Amino acid sequence: MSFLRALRAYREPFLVLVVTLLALFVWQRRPAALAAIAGPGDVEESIAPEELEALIAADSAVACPAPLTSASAPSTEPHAKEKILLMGDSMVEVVGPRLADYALENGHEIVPAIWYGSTTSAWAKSAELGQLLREVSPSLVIVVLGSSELTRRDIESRRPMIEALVKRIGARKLLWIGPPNWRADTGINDLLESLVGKDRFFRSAGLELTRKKDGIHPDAAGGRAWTAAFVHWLEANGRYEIEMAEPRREAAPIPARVLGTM
Amino acid sequence: MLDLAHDPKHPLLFHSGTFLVLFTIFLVVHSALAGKNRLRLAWLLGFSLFYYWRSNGLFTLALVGLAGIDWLLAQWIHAEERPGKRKALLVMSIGSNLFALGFFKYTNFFLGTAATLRGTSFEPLDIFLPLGISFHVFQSLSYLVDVYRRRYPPQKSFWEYLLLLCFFPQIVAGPIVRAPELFSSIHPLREPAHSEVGEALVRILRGVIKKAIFADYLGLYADLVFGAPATFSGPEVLLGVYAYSLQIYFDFSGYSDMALGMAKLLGIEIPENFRAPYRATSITDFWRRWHISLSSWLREYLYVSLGGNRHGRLRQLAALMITMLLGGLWHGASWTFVVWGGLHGLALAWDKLRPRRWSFDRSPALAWFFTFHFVAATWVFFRAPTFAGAFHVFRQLGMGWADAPIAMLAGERRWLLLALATGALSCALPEGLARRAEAWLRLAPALAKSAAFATLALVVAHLAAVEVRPFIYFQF
Repeated sequence: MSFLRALRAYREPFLVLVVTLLALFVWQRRPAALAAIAGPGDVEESIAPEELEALIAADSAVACPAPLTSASAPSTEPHAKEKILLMGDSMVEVVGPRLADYALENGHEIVPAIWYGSTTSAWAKSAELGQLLREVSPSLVIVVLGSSELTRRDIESRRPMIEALVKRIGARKLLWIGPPNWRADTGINDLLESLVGKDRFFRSAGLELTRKKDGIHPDAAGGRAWTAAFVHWLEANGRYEIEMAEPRREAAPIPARVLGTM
Repeated sequence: MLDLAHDPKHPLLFHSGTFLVLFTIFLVVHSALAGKNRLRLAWLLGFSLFYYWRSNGLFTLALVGLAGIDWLLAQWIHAEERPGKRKALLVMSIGSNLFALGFFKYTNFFLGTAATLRGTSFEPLDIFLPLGISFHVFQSLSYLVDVYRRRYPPQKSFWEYLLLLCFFPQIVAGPIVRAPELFSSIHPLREPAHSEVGEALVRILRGVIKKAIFADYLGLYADLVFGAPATFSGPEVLLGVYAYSLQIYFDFSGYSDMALGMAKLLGIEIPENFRAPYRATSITDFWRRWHISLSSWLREYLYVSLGGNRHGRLRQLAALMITMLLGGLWHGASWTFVVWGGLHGLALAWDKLRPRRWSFDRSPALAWFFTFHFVAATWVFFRAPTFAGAFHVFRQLGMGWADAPIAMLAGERRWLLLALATGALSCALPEGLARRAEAWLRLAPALAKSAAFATLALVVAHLAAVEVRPFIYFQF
């Protein structure tokens, strides 16, 4: 009988525990559609597979354009002139000017697109990426992303995001400039390197760069040094042969497309 | 999936799904064993040892060994009549506990300090810090001293003494429980009355809200700021210091709330650990409200043992400073904690020494303002990993206000500001009001309570994935 008395005494905690566990169980198995409504933030977290498929299908509806000068040449042919989409977070402003110098020197065309404070997941899920790819129709995409995810704790949650982003860029040439670590990261560089590939991912962590007062963004000299290190890596270890002779003059400022605010 | 393997890095938190499942099983068996108190106690001890093992692995054996030594020596101290021998036994028993604490927690601290003084380099040894060791060693010490002072006889059952050291609700973050507080309520372990169940559930709910919603969210921002203080402007750092002040309170007192609530469900009353500390109007007042089980422990077993106020002003101040410096060191093996304790010691000394006319008796608002900001400023030493880090925080607080992006801050950090404001408001509310607000839930039907818990669990699950992004574009 004392057992029944105990059960009676604990009926409220039992009910509370069972209902809470049930709620958590249902939550973990919630359908993707519900997650989209209830998920934290609209651009931050998960991406439903069908949503991704639709985005990729839309992106790849645009045929991957060939380099500007030789329409029929294979994409690895050296000395081809590239149409470069330089996209990413505020770090685009840092490497942009010097990359524009290289582009001018070597006959490439460059279109910078900045999404301030953006993350891999923001880009992976954005419709604006598709729009950019269609409008710019680049032969080479240079991504500068990862700074906002330097200290992310659940770094593994970025894996599907980065995979999705790479898939959406599709058959176009892709180079990824990693974040210029101003402090130790929680694994974003390793994850990017493993997903993008050693010959497409330039690890910027470890570069000694002079920085702006914020201690985070490389300053003008730092930006030049960073870009030079990237070009050096590209020539030595990059997957593609892209003409990148040392610029002899400075390009005029190129207006960047600024994407949605988060 | 249940997360049952030994994992020294991630203690099983009370608001985790795994713990909820385990606690349900625990409570089912606990109920089934009603009327069989020895079996109930054995089950409680087994569950507590499992919880301890989950974080500490094989060190659990060392805990059992330490408990064995304490238990034997306490019996011996009690039986012995000769004062000299009793004292020797006490020194031996205290020594064994302090040795364990010193070895596991402070070896690297002492070796590192010695190396710095000699100007040599030092590679920290790989010593595992057992979860909860600071708490259960202090519980052992108070037990041994109390038996020595003949305040109560030693515990006859070794297993019950072991339970005192590893009682699962309070092993992670206290409160520090004295032996009679536990032993008086386990013979027998009784079922809680209906009103107590309501109280316990509301207490747990409050704890989870504090810990998993406020502390964890505010902590994300505090981590950002304290991670690289030099990269943030003055107002951002100020918000970081406020965020950390609230975080540490919500984290610690939230965990205490959960511990108290769970113990209450088992019919065990453990002491209150916090009493609205941020409403204190002096540092002396603060220490009567903050981590009460520790401050009363320090007063009783350290300050009083060092002479307290019985040997004149100078000796009293020396006792106070030593108590606070060691109290600081208890919180963590680093000189920054010693400085934190030292600053509080100085403030307490100032409270005792200052002339009456220099007090803020007539303007409690000013008294509160200075007290809170002193406490918040000293948290900088508590949180910053190094003195250089603390220095950067203070430098930015003093000089980082030019061109501060205040308008952007208000726009981009609105969730943080909301959390800070809500948190501050909850600290400022009169206790009676908070209790009245909780009363309706305490008396509400079981289904309403279940709905409240389930909603909270979903909010916590939802928030677990949220992060405060660095917003690095701020600094242009």
